[in-house]
Amino acid sequence: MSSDADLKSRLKNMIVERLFLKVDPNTMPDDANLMETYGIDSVNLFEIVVGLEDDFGISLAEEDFSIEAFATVNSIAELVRRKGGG
Amino acid sequence: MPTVQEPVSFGVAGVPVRGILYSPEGRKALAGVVICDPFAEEKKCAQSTLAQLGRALAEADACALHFDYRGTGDSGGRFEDYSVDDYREDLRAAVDFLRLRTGAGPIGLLGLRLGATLAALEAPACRAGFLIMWEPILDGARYLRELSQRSTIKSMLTGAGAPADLEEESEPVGFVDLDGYRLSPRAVKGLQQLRLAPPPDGPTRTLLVECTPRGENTAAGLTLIQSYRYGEARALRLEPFWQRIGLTDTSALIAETVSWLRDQWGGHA
Repeated sequence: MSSDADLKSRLKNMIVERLFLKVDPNTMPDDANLMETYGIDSVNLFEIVVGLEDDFGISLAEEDFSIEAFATVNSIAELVRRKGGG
Repeated sequence: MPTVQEPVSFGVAGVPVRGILYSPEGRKALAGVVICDPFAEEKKCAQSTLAQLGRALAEADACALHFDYRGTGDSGGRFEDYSVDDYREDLRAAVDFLRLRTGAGPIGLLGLRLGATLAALEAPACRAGFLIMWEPILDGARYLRELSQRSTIKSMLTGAGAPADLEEESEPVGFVDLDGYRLSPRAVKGLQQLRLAPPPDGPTRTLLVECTPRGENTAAGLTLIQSYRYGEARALRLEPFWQRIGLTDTSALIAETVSWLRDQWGGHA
């Protein structure tokens, strides 16, 4: 498994676990819109932010918050890479 | 078991602090519990759970006082005029009120989030017979940052402008607005300086309950509870009910807590 695939796999597991989603993380498409597909709202997004900071070792600043950055697993993985986490 | 709930009021610095007193009906209370609210939006989201908790405690033969800090809920004053230090004063007054009003045996503190932190800090001064912390805030500065992040996320999703910058707005003349809650510079400073440090003396029986995705205690939680002489940690797989109104079933949390309390004072089984 490449590091990119590994990162996305860990992200999916984190999202499913922290959001108590009743889905198999392995079935989550990398490019599915999380808000539309899983009904993710502001409370869920905050849990993802906490998960990124706690589990992926990044610190998010005001300018990191955008709908695009949190839209898909792909975009969140890109955010993690850009912030030097993993 | 039949219970009674009644609105009560007491004063702090001339300002009315109001709450609900839950009591067993026609039976002697074996203990008293002061329920300490979380902060701002978390208080609103936890309201239903804490009311259920009050009733459950009364059914278990305890008196429970659930009060509003000054500037919140039904109590007097404006939110922006109060800070953590004021809430701590309110908490001490609530303990005194419950002690005088009910004559119940041991009086203990139970808090959620910021309320848990304040309860822990005030437990020695209140001569609390027991302490229960639900998801305490360990680091006030981090908590304040999280409040700001939540506000940013809400603004992002609703298309509203970015919330005021925390650093800029915490200048002496400025206020921080977090989702409609205006924090004065004193309130910001109070939160930033808040730390849940190990108690200097810890005879109090203490329970830490964490609600986590895996139903396991966190490393930070375990470290905290180990600093208490009679500390016990439990964890439940439960969503953060203090962030969302009414969708999470918290009956397991309440049952776990009441069960632990019964063990402490030998209450109704």
